[in-house]
Amino acid sequence: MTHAITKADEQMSMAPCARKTFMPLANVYETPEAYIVIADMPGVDEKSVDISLKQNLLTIRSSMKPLEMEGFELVHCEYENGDYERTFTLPDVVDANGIEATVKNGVLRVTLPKAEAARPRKIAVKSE
Amino acid sequence: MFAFNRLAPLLELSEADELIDDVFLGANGAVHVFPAVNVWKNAEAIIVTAELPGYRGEDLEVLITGKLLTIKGGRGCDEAAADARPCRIEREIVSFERSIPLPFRAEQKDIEAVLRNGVLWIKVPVVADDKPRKITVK
Repeated sequence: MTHAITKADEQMSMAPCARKTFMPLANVYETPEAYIVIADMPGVDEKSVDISLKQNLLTIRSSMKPLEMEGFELVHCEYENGDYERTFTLPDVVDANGIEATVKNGVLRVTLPKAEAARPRKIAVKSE
Repeated sequence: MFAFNRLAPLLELSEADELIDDVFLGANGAVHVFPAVNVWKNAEAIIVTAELPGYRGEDLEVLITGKLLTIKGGRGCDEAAADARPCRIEREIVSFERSIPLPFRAEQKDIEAVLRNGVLWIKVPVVADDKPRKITVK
């Protein structure tokens, strides 16, 4: 029994350390035509972001390589590196083909145009 | 639940202290300072990295005064359309100033600072006079 535990312990310590996943802070705006999601994702570039829309669930994900400092030793650590992941539930139907995303200075910006049916329509009031 | 510890009668009190600290300092004991920095070191230089998403190079200032490295900056509002209605605001618009004491004096001209993808990287080389010298014992 003791042996089994030791072996399990060994396997645990041999397993690669799981990378941490962080939830990026985000601002969400709504305009009559679209939703705009702006998320802080420092260290991320356009190649490492993955955006998916499934029904009304928008998922943003990114995995980035941690900053390598060859020949340097980490002496003080206030933040950790890892992956980012967050899912947003969108209230209206979104036009999946029109989604645009950009990354600039470590900030992701996703513009999700509303589907035609979900856009407000102006009804002209006629005078008699 | 409450076990009086003969050797450390104030142990419970220190636990209470920790609970209070959790409230003010965050659960992991981290003080809320902005920006969070990581510091790397070797015999030649110190590297300071900070996460500053949404800041541009011109929004930031890196200064050195003797042994004190200072990072200053501020970022503007989101560029959203005028008719945009905010649904959720979590990202703060922050102006900040943070000073980090270095273990040696440094010159402004030697400092290298690069901002890439919202991560600031500052390299401060050790001035030759401040490098440790090996003295042979005869």
